[in-house]
Amino acid sequence: MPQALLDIRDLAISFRQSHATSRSPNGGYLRALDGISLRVPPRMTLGVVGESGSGKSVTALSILRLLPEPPARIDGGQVLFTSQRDGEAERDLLRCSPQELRRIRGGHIAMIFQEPMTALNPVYTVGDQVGESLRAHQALTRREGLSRAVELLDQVGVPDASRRVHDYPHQLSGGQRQRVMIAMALSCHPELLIADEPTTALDVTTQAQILDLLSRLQQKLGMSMLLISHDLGVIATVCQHVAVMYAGQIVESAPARTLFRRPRHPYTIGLLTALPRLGMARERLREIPGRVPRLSEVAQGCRFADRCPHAQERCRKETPALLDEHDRIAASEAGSQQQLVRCHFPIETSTQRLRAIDAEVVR
Amino acid sequence: MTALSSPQAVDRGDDKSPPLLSVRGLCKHYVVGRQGVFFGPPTLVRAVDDVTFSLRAGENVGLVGESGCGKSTLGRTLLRLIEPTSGEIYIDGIDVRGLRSRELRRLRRHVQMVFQDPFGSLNPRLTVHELLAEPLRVHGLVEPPARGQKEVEAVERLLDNVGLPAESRRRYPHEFSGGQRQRIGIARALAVRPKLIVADEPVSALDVSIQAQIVNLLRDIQERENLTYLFISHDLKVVEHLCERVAVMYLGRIVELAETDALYGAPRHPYTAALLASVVEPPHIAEPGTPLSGAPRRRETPSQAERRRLFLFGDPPSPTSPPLGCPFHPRCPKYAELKQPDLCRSERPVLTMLPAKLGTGPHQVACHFAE
Ligand SMILES: Nc1ncnc2c1ncn2[C@@H]1O[C@H](COP(=O)(O)OP(=O)(O)OP(=O)(O)O)[C@@H](O)[C@H]1O
Ligand SMILES: Nc1ncnc2c1ncn2[C@@H]1O[C@H](COP(=O)(O)OP(=O)(O)O)[C@@H](O)[C@H]1O
Ligand code: SF4
Ligand code: SF4
Ligand SMILES: [Mg+2]
Ligand SMILES: [Mg+2]
Repeated sequence: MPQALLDIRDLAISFRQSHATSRSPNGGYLRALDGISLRVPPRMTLGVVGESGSGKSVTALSILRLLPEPPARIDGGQVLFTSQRDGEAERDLLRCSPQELRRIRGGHIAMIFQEPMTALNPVYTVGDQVGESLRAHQALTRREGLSRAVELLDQVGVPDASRRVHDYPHQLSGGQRQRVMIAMALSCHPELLIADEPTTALDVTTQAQILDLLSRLQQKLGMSMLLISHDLGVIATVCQHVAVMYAGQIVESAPARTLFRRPRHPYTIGLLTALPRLGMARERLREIPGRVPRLSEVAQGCRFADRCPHAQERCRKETPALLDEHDRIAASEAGSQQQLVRCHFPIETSTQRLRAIDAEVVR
Repeated sequence: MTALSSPQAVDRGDDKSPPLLSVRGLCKHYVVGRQGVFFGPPTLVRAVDDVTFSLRAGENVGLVGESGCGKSTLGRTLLRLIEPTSGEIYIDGIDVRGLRSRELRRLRRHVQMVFQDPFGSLNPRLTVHELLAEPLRVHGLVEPPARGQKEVEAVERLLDNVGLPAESRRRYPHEFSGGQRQRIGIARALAVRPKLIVADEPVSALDVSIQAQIVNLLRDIQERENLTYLFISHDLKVVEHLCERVAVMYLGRIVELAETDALYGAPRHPYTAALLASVVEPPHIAEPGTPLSGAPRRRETPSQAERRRLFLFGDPPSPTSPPLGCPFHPRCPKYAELKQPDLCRSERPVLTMLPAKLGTGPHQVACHFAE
């Protein structure tokens, strides 16, 4: 396997509950992430998809140690980062010194969030802010910083950038603010861009533009990207590889095409069939019964068992492990050998049945 | 499809039976400042601008458009939660604008609203029983005493209607998940047996798995009770699943209105086409039995290149100074394609009925060059 740029192994994180007392079980800590493993190869985009509360943001924030500790507590695992730039060794971000971490945050890994307004300073112009983040990495005068900021804003599609640099964040639309955030993130030439729900607050029209921009920049700059979203459509548009999270765990992980065309975990299948789609007017939606368990409700066995149409005795007793269940046809299509599934009874995808459906779809 | 064969089919106002809701020339303008320092003319936001449409009883109409286009404002003016600036609203023959504040209560029996954020719209200090019994008491729909046998039965019936267990009655809103709170919000709206429900983004805050439950619930209830919906959403996929007709808004105005199949299958306003091209979806699963009833109708999905051609550039313009002529022209792919015709800059297109043509039904469209 080629060296991954980012390799998260068995990451476990808990949060101390605000109402915890000295007699609460586990000292009042609840597990929010349990055994998360993710690999982002160089120049690839990994998508992480899941419903709210599944642990997507906690995963993203933990990579750069941005979680407040306490209430957060890292219970175990590694976040291995191996820069592709010369002379850099593999390092575990969970065990780096604060200076080291700051260097990596500034020069190798950048992050953008759902609500750009909270990450921008309302009292400085966007030109000042983009210029400032450029000057943090390069020796530039304020003037040079500003003119590089104009170039950068132009590159991310802010119209009329030379005039816009003098605007304050509140004078920009949501889409333009997200572009400014992207420009700031790119100012350090990151090897990895972590984007947590970057288009969730935007209209579909603006979302389409931003997704297009992110894919083009990722390819042009040869970056890796970790894209987090609850929206399967967004993930499908941008990502080459996809991991599905449920209640703090990864339940399925595969190349995008395999995951969407031949999902094997009952939850992934449930999500994909619950989704309203264009062209299926007045079709009744498939429901997943029940709701996501709270952290405090997670017990022994499969976390999806209460909602799973295929659940059996064993599912409630034995916690399934994330295993490679790859199927030869699916693998040959996608050019990869892996389809990790956390389920005792992964859904069958027999060759013949799939051929028959493919024929139908083509027709 | 016979419904698509006559142009009258789209404007339900021309039906024999009077429409349940009829809106004519509705405007809501906000004064947000003055041009110049003191005595200049007011700066207006035309949140809703000259909107005319009608709903037949039992119909389910979707209202879509980008953020800020005026969907919520339109929905709220119908109930006079916001006072319209001008125009007519008739609901079941009642002149809504003529009602005095006391008579408004009677209106609220006929028209109810369901909101996006069920938490924000439910009083956290009341039990679910109190939340559901209150509208029943106000409208005298249940025998006293409060919390008596009859009332408990009525509340339990409402809960059952929306798929919640009877014991939920004793609990408080914060003890429920988002999807369950939305069920409570729906039960509360249904309590007074309204004729029309204005639902403002009722499933937008919900996760996919819960969203499907609520979309199905809204549909079941509509069929069961023959309700009329005005369903406001920015999600074109949900609207296609739920609605029979769809109105598309841009900068306070309806720019296209047609039967769902016709609008989605062959949009005739460039803005609608662009909205549809922006929708992202994952590929279809290659598993048998995906749809519950028969094979899904799969329309041609546009290629990425085709979608790029339709992509909109830029954002919606400022509502305080909308572009002259067709307010959509600075972003319109067709305007660019046609080499920027003067007409689009000089004259505002009005919503006009275009007859059916091969492959699509009649549409009301506001575009000089609609085909
Ligand atoms: N009280 C108000 N004063 C001034 N302007 C307002 C007021 N309420 C709404 N507006 C403006 O009216 C326009 C329409 O707003 P509205 O909330 O109806 O949009 P919407 O289509 O529901 O958007 P969203 O999809 O974001 O909910 C916007 O430009 C908004 O800024
Ligand atoms: N600062 C915090 N304190 C306590 N619990 C938290 C905190 N941040 C996140 N959590 C919990 O961790 C879980 C995962 O949250 P998050 O990663 O934000 O989900 P999402 O997948 O929606 O991004 C949730 O149950 C959430 O309540
Ligand atoms: S382990 Fe059992 S309950 Fe869990 S997803 Fe698989 S079949 Fe369903
Ligand atoms: S009138 Fe002109 S600018 Fe407006 S939608 Fe039609 S083609 Fe586009
Ligand atoms: Mg999140
Ligand atoms: Mg709204």
